[in-house]
Amino acid sequence: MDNKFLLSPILDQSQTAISEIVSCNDNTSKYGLVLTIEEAKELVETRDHALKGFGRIEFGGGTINKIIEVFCDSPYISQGDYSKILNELLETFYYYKNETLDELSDDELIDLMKDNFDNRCHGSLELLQNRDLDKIARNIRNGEDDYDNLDEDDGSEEYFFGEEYERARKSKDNFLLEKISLIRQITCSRY
Amino acid sequence: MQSLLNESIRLKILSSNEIENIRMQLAQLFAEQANKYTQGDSCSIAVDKAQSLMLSIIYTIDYYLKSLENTDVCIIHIKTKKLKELHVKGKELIRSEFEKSKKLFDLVQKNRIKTENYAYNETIDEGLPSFFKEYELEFLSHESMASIDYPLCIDKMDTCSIEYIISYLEKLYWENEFCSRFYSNDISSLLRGYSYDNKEQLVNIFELVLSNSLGSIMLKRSAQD
Repeated sequence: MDNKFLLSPILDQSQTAISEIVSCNDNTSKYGLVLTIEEAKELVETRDHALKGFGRIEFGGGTINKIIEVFCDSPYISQGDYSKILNELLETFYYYKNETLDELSDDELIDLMKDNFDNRCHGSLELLQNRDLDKIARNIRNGEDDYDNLDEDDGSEEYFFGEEYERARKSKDNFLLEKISLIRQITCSRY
Repeated sequence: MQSLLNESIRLKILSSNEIENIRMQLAQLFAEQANKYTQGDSCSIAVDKAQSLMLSIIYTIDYYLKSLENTDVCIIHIKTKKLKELHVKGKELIRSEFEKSKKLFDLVQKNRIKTENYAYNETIDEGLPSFFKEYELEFLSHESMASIDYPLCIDKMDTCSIEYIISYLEKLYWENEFCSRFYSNDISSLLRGYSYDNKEQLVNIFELVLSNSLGSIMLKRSAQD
């Protein structure tokens, strides 16, 4: 009998997690965001894959739900890309739990992700992962107290798309947002 | 505990339901300890930390089970009591053993040999005190946190952590007690005769004193000669 045998009940929480994820639809549907059972299963698979890949064990559960709850009101997420973004955010979360040396609590990291995703990256996961969170993680590893201060000339203003975009964001005009998002993707690929 | 469960499965003393129940209790205990470790801030921890926490839980339960009369009583405890209860009793037992080991260490400091042997002095002056300073009962009960270089005459190396420290201190006390019957100058001379660089060597002083003392008796001379 080894540790794997003893730890196996901790690793086997899939069924409970799927039903908990689906139950989040009650809250997120008011933002026009809903996950199917298949998408919930995919999220659990992504979580298991990320945990394994980044060498972590989840004992409490509920991380996926926390991410859903915090991100569901983001103006940059629409039903079309909801599941895809959640999968990416989940992987990003576990990756940066390690990169920040577990110095940030789950809530702190998710709040930082959301804040930067909405306000500095304007919905770009690439910028969130490769610029802002990377900088925050480096600041933490360097022992800086003001680790989440990213107010330097890092080019974030380049990704502000003007008043028309902000209006579309506030009114949740998905058609306009998608158009601008397309432009943003082209800009990001240049970046 | 792991070998006990293995044998219980092999001999069918525990049913598959009972084994499953033990695993679930262990998982629950692990989740509680991990939650305590992260102070409720995180739902996940690194695998190496998780393994360390699990080893600490098992060591603590083991410590209690080993204090029971025999394996039959251990099995009855595993079958009838909650693992959490065994874990709490293990912690209480380790805590009292820790206090006992502190008292033993005081005695060892009092009857220490006056020698220039580095390993001996460093073990008493730095290695053992670091154990008392850094031992973490709640999350790292299985780790020793001590750098013990000085070899005992008969060293039981198949134990670890508090169990090893207690055994080490008891033996060191009695070795010191034996050596205290001899003049420290005589012990220094004996060590010089044993090796030119005796200060740096990892040598057990008691063993040298005992064997030379026995040799002296066999030559019909005083043990102290």
